Amino acid sequence: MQRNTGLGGIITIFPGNRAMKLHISADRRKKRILMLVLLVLAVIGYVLVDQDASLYHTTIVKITSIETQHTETQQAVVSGEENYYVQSITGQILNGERKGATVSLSNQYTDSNVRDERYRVGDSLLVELGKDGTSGKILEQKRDTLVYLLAAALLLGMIAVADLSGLLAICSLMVNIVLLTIALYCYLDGWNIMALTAVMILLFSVLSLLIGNGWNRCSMLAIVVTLLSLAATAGIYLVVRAVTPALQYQMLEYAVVPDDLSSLFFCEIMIGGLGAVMDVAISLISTADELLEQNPHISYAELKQSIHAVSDDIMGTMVNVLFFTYICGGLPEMLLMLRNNLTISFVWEYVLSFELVRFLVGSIGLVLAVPVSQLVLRVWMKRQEAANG
Amino acid sequence: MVKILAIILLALMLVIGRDRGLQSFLTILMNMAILAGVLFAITLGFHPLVTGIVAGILLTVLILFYQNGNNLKTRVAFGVILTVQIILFLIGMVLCFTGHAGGYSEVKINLDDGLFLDGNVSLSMLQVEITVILLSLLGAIKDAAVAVTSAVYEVHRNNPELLPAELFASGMKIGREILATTINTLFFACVGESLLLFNIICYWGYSFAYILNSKALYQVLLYSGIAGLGCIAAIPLSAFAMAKVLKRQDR
Repeated sequence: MQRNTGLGGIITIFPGNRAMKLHISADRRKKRILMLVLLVLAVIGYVLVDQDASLYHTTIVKITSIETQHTETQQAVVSGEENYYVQSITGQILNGERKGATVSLSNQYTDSNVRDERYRVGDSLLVELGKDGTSGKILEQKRDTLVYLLAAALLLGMIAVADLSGLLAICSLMVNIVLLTIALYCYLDGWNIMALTAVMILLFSVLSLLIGNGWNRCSMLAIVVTLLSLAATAGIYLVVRAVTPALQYQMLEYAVVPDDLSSLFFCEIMIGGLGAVMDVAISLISTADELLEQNPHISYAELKQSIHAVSDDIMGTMVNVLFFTYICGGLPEMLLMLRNNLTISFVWEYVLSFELVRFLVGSIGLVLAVPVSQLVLRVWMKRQEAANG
Repeated sequence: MVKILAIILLALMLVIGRDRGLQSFLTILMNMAILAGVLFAITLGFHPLVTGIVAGILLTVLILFYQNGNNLKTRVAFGVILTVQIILFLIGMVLCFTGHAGGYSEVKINLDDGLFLDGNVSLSMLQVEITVILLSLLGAIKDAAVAVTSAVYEVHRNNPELLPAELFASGMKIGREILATTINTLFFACVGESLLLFNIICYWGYSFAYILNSKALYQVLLYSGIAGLGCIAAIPLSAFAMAKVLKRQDR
């Protein structure tokens, strides 16, 4: 059984469904062939990425042997001890003028690997060669094959499980990544961050929803709901920010001081919550749309009730999704601090409060999407009625 | 700020979701308590992976059985979530191990981020990273698994004579919709969390090759990529398991 054929493969697990199998088989066979072709392409791609050293300007060294020496043992801050090692690495250059030559590198690492790596034979490294060409400084590990593997697995998996809508989701991701890159350069060009955030959110939500659902009533309403909910959330956040003491923005991950960090953080949390708000908006609106499709004369009260049933189901789940993605992201940093004997209030102020604000604002946004959907539907139905006389 | 926002969220959830809203809020509080327990257990010297596994099971029980009740649908979903977690644990192990994903990234070290922290912590950051990746995708997997198992269950209740393959197909149909929106949610959450990183990358003009191979990008991709893979795996698995269980029950 091929794992990547998704539906087609799994159907054959059920024995004794001859008629069923014949009925589905034509479509499934096409899909199976498509998946097989994609899989072969992915494998070819892997081989190419694995051999791409000649494309790099930086020297790439593949480790052929390592000698490790234990240098010292230090007492750890809280408890236990920390061993220090030095690796004498011998490797072969894979690209450039000195291709094939041997290099020796040195690397220090500790048990905890907080700011260092323990390299293994077979790893490829990006190296800055010294003048003599036989020694050098390790810049970083070559991870492009792993990045490729992860991306390829995601793409193949999405197409295998979700067919066309998987493909559309991939398209909208690509478009969003391009948009994001453009926006970053606009920011560096000196655009106002708040205006840029507003434009980005508008473009992100319009494009994602249109690519995902096509140009129809459902998408239009969902776009309106998403934008209104986010605007309301932004309003709430800005008011709360104005009346409470400022967070310690300089402690944000990857913060550079000359930037306006409070605005950048605002932009981060708005974009972070956007996906969840869109998710809730599209679920609620498509339910209402389905009901309107079945019975165009359905009353608003009935519509409201079924929206409520759906929202009860998804609200709790979506809040959980946001909770785990955000709060867990801060765990490694918090652990480092706690193992450094720093107090809980320190951890709270410098890490946890950021993650909590992200989570809370995103959740407020998606909860607000429920009444906003009801409001938008109500206004829209009133206008429909007026238009129909 | 956190307190005021939390009160606003609680108020909104109570007004809009009433008792379900209150329940969701309580779940979040209990989740926080469990995560705090994880933090302190690891700080006190318990093994990160073991702590993570125990906490993962506790959290799954909490968000499944407390929020959605104990019934056939959630019991099947529980099995699916555990299976997916085991698969992802293996994938995550390999990816973290070969890509050296633990600890501070090069970009962070260049920025002198967290310079005041001593690296002598006697705690494997690699194990911490794997634990955290596995915990962070719990929400997304549960979302997918529960949506698919309840959809298959409803279809079966309305048409008891459907064949397992047809039940499976209807589960996949719901799964497709869930997958697209969940991937979207994860993508934006991930972008929202790493906007400052992307800003730095552009600001300092790192070369494309440097960024592609950097640990900073790799960590971001691992978090959202593994969560995405989890949803992808959870959808066919839960459709299949639910169809199988329902049919066995009928016999």
